[in-house]
Amino acid sequence: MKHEEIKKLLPLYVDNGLSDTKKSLVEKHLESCPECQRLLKEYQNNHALLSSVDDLEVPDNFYNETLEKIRREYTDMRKERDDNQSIWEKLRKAFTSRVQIPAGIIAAAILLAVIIPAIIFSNPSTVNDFASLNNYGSGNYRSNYAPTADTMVALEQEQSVQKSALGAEQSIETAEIERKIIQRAYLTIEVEELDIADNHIMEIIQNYNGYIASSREWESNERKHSRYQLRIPAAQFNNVISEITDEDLGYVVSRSISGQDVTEEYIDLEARLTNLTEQEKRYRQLLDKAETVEDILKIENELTRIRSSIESLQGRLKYLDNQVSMSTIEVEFREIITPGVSNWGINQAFKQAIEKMSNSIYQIITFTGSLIPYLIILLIIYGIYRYRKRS
Amino acid sequence: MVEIPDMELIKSFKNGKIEAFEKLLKRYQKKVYNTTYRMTGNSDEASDLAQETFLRVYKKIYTFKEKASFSTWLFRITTNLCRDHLRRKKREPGQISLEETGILNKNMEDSPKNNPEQSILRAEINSNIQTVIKNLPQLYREVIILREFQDFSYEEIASILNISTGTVKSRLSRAREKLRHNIKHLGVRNHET
Repeated sequence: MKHEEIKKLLPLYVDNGLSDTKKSLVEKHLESCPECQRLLKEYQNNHALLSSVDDLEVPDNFYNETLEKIRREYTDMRKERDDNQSIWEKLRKAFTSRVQIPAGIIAAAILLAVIIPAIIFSNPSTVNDFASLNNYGSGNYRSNYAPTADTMVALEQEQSVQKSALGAEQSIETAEIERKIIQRAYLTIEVEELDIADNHIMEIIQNYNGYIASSREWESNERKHSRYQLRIPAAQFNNVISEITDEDLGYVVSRSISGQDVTEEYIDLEARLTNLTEQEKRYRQLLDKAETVEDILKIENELTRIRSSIESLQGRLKYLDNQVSMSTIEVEFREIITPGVSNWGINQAFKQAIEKMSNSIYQIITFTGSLIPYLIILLIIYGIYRYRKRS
Repeated sequence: MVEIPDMELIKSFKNGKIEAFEKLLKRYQKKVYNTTYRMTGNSDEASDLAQETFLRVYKKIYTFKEKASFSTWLFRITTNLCRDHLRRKKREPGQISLEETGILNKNMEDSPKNNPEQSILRAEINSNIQTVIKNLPQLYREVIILREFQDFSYEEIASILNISTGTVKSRLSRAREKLRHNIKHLGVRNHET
């Protein structure tokens, strides 16, 4: 391994973050490289410095304040709940508004259950979700959770139900015919630093065995952009999307995901392909039997026609296979424009003032310069005038 | 005194025993507070965020599945709250407190254990460290705080941040590189003045 590569491993060497093989490689290299020794020393010092920093004491009243806050919220919730219970109508309203979000999902889940009961029951996670959904409903009344918490749970439930619905869908696919779906996603994300996003993409590519089909970087209005077209194994599609849209990377401005079902086309193509290959076989048998030159020529003509359509069908199938097995994700990153802090604004103002000033001087010079020919003519006329007057 | 394991405390808290929650709060308050402090660099915000974290733990304990460890779950909540907070702060840049710039340091002002000289020295080191950390991008700051300060293992960090161990490693590696750069820079500047 080269020096540069070893250098990249050093930060993880300090706390045993390398695999054994890499570790021994680093150790071997260290013996003969003073630069890496120095670097390692720095990393070790930094690590030691940071991990030796004492924890700060929590503020004195932290513990009591926290408990107090919780108690306050808790009693608020209870009071609210009591009010609701005293008036039946209010309670019902609260109930309906509270379960509005999961209601749709429950309906969807029930629908799924009706259509594909066998699959749902063979899928334990869905059953669990139903159980937890029910638990959650009853828990609503037994204990005193805040509505915000409820909606959060609802959202979580929603996600898990969706996930299980997806699982169910997948099992249908395998049960009947293999569904061919081309998945595509378009994401636009605002990030703090483009570099990090770029690195992140490289990591994802490595971790999920994908590749970059194309990439482009550009700058417009002093804002850096980069766009990637990624090809990711279809099975990892959702994982990759969730990793790219991970909150820590940046703010997701837009996200659209589309799935194009090409099963029908695929089956159609396959059928036509088998038909054509059968036909080709028959023509070949005919060719063996053919006796006159005319017949042979005719049959060969037919054969070339069939061959070319077979090849175009195969090409199309290959293309579909590729599109189905690798999904496409297009991501555009752009840097967040940070609104100027006051200090910076003044600097900018000064800068602009100086710029404008030099600009105006420049313009005055060019203006006077452009007047020079006229000045010369005026001078000549004045000279003639003086000369005549004198004579 | 024998420590009661987290899981048992959670179980009894789920059964309605508030004392169990109090024990958990006592056990983790320092770690959580220090994390939020390193993330924000501001003791008031840190204390608010830490309280919010425990409030959320209290409310959402019933969603906690006993498969994961409690501290992983707790720190996932903590980091998520910090992220939300910092993002909101970024959108609406308001005042920056003196403390964040390192001019004022509340936490180091008066610790009775040390003599003044020592505490000044400590305050200086602390504020230098805070500056260095603050200059790291959020993504790197998190892994550094979780690894170096809170001493979580790579695997624990991976499950806290919900990323793969490989990603943790590469993130941490770049973070340390950047950190080395920053510290070097700061060291040179200190030397000159």
